[in-house]
Amino acid sequence: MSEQLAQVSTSTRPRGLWDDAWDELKGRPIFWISSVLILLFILMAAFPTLFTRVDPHVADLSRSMEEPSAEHWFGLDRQGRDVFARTIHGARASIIVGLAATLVTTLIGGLLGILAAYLGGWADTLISRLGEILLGLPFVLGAIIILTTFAGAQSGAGPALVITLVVGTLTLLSWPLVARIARSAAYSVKHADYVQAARALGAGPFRIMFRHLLPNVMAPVIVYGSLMVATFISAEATLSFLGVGLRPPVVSWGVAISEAGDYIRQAFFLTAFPTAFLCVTVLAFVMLGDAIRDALDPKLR
Amino acid sequence: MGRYLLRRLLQAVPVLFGTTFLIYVVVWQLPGDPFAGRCGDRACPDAFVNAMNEQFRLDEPLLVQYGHYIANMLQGDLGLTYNMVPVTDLIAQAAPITLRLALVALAFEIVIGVVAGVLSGLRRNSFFDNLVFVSTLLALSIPTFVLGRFLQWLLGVQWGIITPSVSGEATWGELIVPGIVIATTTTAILARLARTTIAENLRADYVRTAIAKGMPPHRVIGVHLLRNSMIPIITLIGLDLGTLMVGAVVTEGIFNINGLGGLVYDHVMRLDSTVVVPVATLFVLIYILANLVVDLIYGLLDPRIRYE
Amino acid sequence: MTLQNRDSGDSSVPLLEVEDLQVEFHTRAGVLKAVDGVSFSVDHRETLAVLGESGSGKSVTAQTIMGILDMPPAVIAGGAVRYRGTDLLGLSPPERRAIRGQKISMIFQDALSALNPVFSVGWQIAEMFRVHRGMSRREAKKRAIELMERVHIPAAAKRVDDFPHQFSGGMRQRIMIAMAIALDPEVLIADEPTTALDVTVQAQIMELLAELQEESGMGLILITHDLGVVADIADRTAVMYAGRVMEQAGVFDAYAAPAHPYTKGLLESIPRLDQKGGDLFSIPGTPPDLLHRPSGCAFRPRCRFRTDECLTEDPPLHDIGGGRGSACHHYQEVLDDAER
Repeated sequence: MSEQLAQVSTSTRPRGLWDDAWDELKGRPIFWISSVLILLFILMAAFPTLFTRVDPHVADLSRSMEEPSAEHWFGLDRQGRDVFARTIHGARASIIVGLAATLVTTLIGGLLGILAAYLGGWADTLISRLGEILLGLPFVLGAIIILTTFAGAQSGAGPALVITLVVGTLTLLSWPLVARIARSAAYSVKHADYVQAARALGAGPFRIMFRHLLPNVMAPVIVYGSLMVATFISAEATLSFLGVGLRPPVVSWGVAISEAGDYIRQAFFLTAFPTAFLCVTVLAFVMLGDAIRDALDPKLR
Repeated sequence: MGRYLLRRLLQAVPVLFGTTFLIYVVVWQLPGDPFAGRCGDRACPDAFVNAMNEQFRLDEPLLVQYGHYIANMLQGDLGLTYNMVPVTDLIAQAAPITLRLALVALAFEIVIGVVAGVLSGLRRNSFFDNLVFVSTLLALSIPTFVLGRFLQWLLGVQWGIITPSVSGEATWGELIVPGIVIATTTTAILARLARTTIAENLRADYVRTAIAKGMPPHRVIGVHLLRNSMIPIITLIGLDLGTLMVGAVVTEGIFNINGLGGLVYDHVMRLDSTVVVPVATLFVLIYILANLVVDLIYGLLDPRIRYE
Repeated sequence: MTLQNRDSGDSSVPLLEVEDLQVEFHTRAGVLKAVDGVSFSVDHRETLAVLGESGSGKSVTAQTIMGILDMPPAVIAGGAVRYRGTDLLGLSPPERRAIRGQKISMIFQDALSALNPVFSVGWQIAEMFRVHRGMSRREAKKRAIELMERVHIPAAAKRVDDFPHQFSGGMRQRIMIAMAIALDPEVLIADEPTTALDVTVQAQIMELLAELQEESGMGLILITHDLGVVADIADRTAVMYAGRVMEQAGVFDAYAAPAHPYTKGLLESIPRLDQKGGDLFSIPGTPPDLLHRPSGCAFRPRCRFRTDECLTEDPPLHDIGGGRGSACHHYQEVLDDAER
């Protein structure tokens, strides 16, 4: 798999590749649909008040679990809080976790992968073995173990710390996959003539790594990274649902689904709205990832 | 072949030790006081603390502890839960159920994933192909816990077709819906892989050769095309056996299945970590074995792979 | 086996005849005429070299004869491919299949990718006997070994269970040939059979093809871009350019006195030992974009004989006597053009 990715990236000139990819993307409705949706969700995450004036934390216990109405489009939850406001405000946690975890994972994984390929020898062995050990750990189980250990020790942690913890956990368990892809892509050009020539002309290790290996690593890592956002958003929701990720008072779709779960018989709408938002967000990122992969990996065009 | 097998096994050893060590450190070492918040809401019973201390030498240096832990594990002794139930017993009860669930899931994955993927790869851009594409898109977008909760509600609560929570027996029939839930993501990935592989191989030169040899279509596709395409497909299926057993944590939790995943889920929720390390170790073992088996199958299917 | 009735066949009907073949590719950018009115024929014991650069339509022609063209995007817009007088293009798929591989077979440029990587070479040769002749596994394997010996693969009995990647390039092409001649076809099409091989191996493969043709009396169509490779064993040549036949002639005639500027250019661009030290000639310009074919003669932009007539009049294949044809308005001038 990674070998094929590497082949694709070596056979195309970087410049031409990106131009072609953009041309290809432009013509795909799926790219535009997903981009618009994602922009909408990012807007929601950045400026939730554009979409709702209602404070998601204001509770009116006397109106607990009121059905959707003109006043409260998505109804009220058990504490009598506005579900629409909570769903809008819930975007922030998902988007932050998804984007931040992807960014950090790609950077760390990409860097370690290039280092492993460039240095070879013991550094390669160390990075590869460490990656194998982490990959041996089942993803969800590993996250549960790490999060219960750390969060258990500090139950009073603030939202920022908890989000950092979740991002850190997802990154820790995922960077080896990116490193593996980056390593094989970098490795495939390490001995290419133009890299050897650059070395012969006295290019230093940083120049070799960033000017010559990095461009070759970009395409496969971006393809993988774009699909990773969806995975991370889904994982965050899962962990929050299990009660080991984000937790109240943080407003998040996973938390909302978890809270509403016990009342699914009486008030289906409590589960339905955050679930729908979660699924559409993940769908948008999966579609974007698909479109980017098709554009950058022209094997089947 | 024998030497290759041995080498691969030896390569797996550091991964096994590394991963279990990591889990061990995270669970027992990092929290400082290993018993703080370990036994649910109450403080840990003294009997439990003493038993654990004696067995795992929790007051000794980390490596000694880990050594004891491994030694105990090799003797089949995995310690006690804080209710003083031997973890070994719990795992022995739970493992067959998880295996059964994984087999149900795997069967679903293979039948649906391979058939849908192969057919849509053969008929690219047809209505069926688009249908499969949209289905995989949806399958990949719905988190497992959402699908589990939804089917439980729809089929169990609204329609009453299934019992919302699986009985202690966990019969094959009861495991069908949970099995499908676990397998949904991997099925979508498998279908996509099968589609891509088939579509790619359909354009391969050797397929053209088979046609030029005057082979009938069923032979061109059924023998030449499929035999080649099966290599990546079977590889993925092999890896998924591990993924499916491990992926059961959430689903077993939702459907109240008393398998390994449910065991972990319950004990994590009750903040009892004694079960977590051994079960995680077992999962790692399954993962490594699945990888090994896949490597071997790969070698059997593809004559270009040499075992040296 | 079929040798007797071969020569006793109706001698007035050519063994294989392509007539006014038109193949188009319907792409997003427009309709591309890959083959535009190609005609030629080949008989028993005859070797026709179809010569041309990549994109000249020679491979598409071969694939159309075999019926292995990818349709879509290709569309056969007209013409006929007659085998013993029967138009293959009008046959049903099963009828077509009965001819493919048994009566007309083909070998390809890259034997490594043309052979199935996961089956042993013996299995792939034996498949011909098992599927078309209903032979048992064991008997088919025995026949496969015999065929491997016939194409001079050393230690055939030992290597019959080996896989394609375990053979050298030349040996792999021999296996392709063994597979193609397994059922004694009457026509063998070789599409650039030696392009991927070393020069010494090229000659050996050509020798083998000539030898097999001698033995069986099959008609041979050699598709190539390299005149030098086929000169020794070809009888006649059809030179293709931009989907059309530019010149048809006996190989010797074409060599001695080309009647089309394109053929002339091709010949002049072959390095010659007797002209050591001189500048190597190459045809100026590039092959035309088939989506935007120039008006008049397609070769005009690269031609040094061009006149205003060439701009407007698309030259037909003129019969210039001696069984030769040239699609050039100025063929006489080209013929008369002094040796370089």
